[in-house]
Amino acid sequence: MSDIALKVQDLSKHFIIRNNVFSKKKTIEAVKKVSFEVKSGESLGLIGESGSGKTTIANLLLKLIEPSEGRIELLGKDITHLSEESMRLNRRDIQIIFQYTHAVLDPKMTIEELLREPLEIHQVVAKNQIDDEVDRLLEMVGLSKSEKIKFPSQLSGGQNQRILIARAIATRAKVIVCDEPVSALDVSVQGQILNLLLKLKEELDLTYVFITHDLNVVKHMCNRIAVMYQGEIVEIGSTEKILSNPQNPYAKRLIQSFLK
Amino acid sequence: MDDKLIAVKNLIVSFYQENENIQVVRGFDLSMVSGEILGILGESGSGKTVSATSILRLEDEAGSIDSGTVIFKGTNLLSLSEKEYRKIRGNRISYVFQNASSALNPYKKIGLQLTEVLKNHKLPFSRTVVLDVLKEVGLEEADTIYDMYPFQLSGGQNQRIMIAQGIISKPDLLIADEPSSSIDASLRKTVLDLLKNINQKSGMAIILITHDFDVAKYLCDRLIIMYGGLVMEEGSVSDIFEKPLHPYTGELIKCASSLNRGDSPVYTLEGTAPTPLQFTNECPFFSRCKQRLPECIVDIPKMVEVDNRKVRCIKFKKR
Repeated sequence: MSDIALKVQDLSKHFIIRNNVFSKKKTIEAVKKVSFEVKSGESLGLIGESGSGKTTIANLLLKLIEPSEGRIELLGKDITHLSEESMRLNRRDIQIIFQYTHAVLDPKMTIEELLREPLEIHQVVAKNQIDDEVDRLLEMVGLSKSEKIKFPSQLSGGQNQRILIARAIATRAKVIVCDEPVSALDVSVQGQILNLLLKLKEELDLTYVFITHDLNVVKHMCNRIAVMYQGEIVEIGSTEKILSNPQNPYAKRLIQSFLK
Repeated sequence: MDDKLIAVKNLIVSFYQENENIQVVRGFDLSMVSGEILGILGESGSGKTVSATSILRLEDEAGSIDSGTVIFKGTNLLSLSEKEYRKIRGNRISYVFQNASSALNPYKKIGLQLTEVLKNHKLPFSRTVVLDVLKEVGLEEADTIYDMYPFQLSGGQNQRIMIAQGIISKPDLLIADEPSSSIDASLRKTVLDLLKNINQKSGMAIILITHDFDVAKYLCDRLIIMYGGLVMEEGSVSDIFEKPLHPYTGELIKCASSLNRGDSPVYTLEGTAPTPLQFTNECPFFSRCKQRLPECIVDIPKMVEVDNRKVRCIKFKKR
C-alpha cells in the first residue's frame, strides 16, 4: 500500500467560453499546472478567494469534470483517463461533502432512502445487512434512529450536514473532499460538525482535502495549507508556518484580511 | 424633542401556516439614536431577519404583525397606509439584502437600477450622482460599471452595488442583513470597513443583522442577542463580550472563542435552537441551558434591567 493517498501533477483545467454567439471564444485557465500530494491520514486545506480555482480542483479530484492536462493518482492508481463507468467504481474511495445540503439531498427522499442509496449503488454490504448498516451510519454521525422516516426539510442545517457526512463515509471512502463544510452553519453548530469530522478521521483513518475560506476550519482541521491565487498554488506548507509567516505576497494579504 | 431615531416596542410577528398562526417573533424591542451601529445577533430561526423586515413592513402575504409599535422620528410606521409608507421605505430607511444575486434585477443595467431609487422618491437624479455613489462604495471603474449588468460583476462587486442602492437616497437608517456572509472572507473586511466609513462620514445609523460574532464585534456599538423569537440580552459590545449576563450569550461566546483559538476538540453547545413550531411557554433556551432551574419552565422570563443592560433570564429576577 502506498502511503500517498492523493497525488496531483501539473493539473490544468481550461474552460472555453463565449459571451454570445457572435463573440470570439475565450479560454479561461481556471487551474494552471497545479501539483501537490496528500499523505494518508493527512488533511490539506486549499484556501484562496472565490475564482481562485479551489472548487474546480475539487471537481477535478472527483472527476466530475475532465482535466485538460496533468495527472491525478488516487491511492496509487492513475485515474486521469478512466472512463465514466470505471470512475464510478473508483468513487467508492473518494467522496465529497458540499456546502449547501439542500442542493444535494433529494427533498422527496427520506433520510433512510438517502442513506441506502450509496450502500446499494456501491454494494458495500449484503442486501440483508443494509438496514443494520443504515442504523450504524446514523449512530456514527450522532443522529438517532427516529430520524430515518423524516425528510431533509424536517431536519436542521446541522443535522442535514451530518447526513451528507454519513453518505460520504458509507462507501468506506478513504479520501473525503470537503467543500466549505461548515460555512452555512450557525456558530454553535459549526463546532459540533468539526468535532464530528475530527472524530471520524481518527476512527476511520480518513484523509481530508478542505476547500475553505474559513480560517477556523483551517486551524482546526488541516496539517498543511495550499494558498491558491488565479488558478495556481502560490504557497504550500504546514498550517503553523503559513498562518504565522506567509512568504508569498498574495498569501500574506489573504491571511491579513481575516477578521481577528 | 426626543433624540431617538427609532423605537420598536413589543413587536409580535406571526406566519400563517397549515391553518395555524405561528409566532415567529414573540417580543422584540429596540431603540436607537442617530449615528449608532446596532447589531442583531442570533442563530437561524431566532427571528432576527423577520424582526428587521417588519420595521420596513416587508412581511409577505402569509405574515402579519400582530402587535407592537415602530416609532420612527415621532411617527408610528405601523399605522401608516402603504402609500404613505412607500415615501419612507427605500428613502429614509433602506435595506441591504443578504443575497445580491437574487435582490438585483438581472435585466437592468446597474446605472438604471440606482437611478430608479432616486426617481421613485422624487430626488434629483443624474449620471453624476450615481457615479459618485458607485465611487463612494469603492467601485473605481464607476463609468464602466454604470452600463453593466449584475451578472457581469463579481459577488463582491454586486454586494457593493446593493450598498450603493441602500445609501444613494442618504437614509437616516440602513438595515444590512448579513452584508458580508455571501462574499469571501478576504473581502469581508473591506465591506465592513465601507459601512463603518459611511457611518462615520454621514452619521447614518446602521442595524446590522448577523450570526457572526467577529463581524458584530468589528462593527457594532451595541448588540441585541436573539434566541427563539425573543430578545435575550441587550448591551454594549464591550459589556457583552467581557461579561455576558445571559447563559446563552455566555455559551455562544465560549463556542466562538474556542473556534477562534483552534481547540481540538472544539467547545460546543449541544442540541439545536428551537424552530418557531417548537416554541412553548417556557424559556426557549431551557433544554440547552447549564444553569437551568425548575422555575424556568413556568413562563417565558421577563426582560429585567441590570446595570443599564437588559437581560431575559430568571437568574436576575430575584435581586
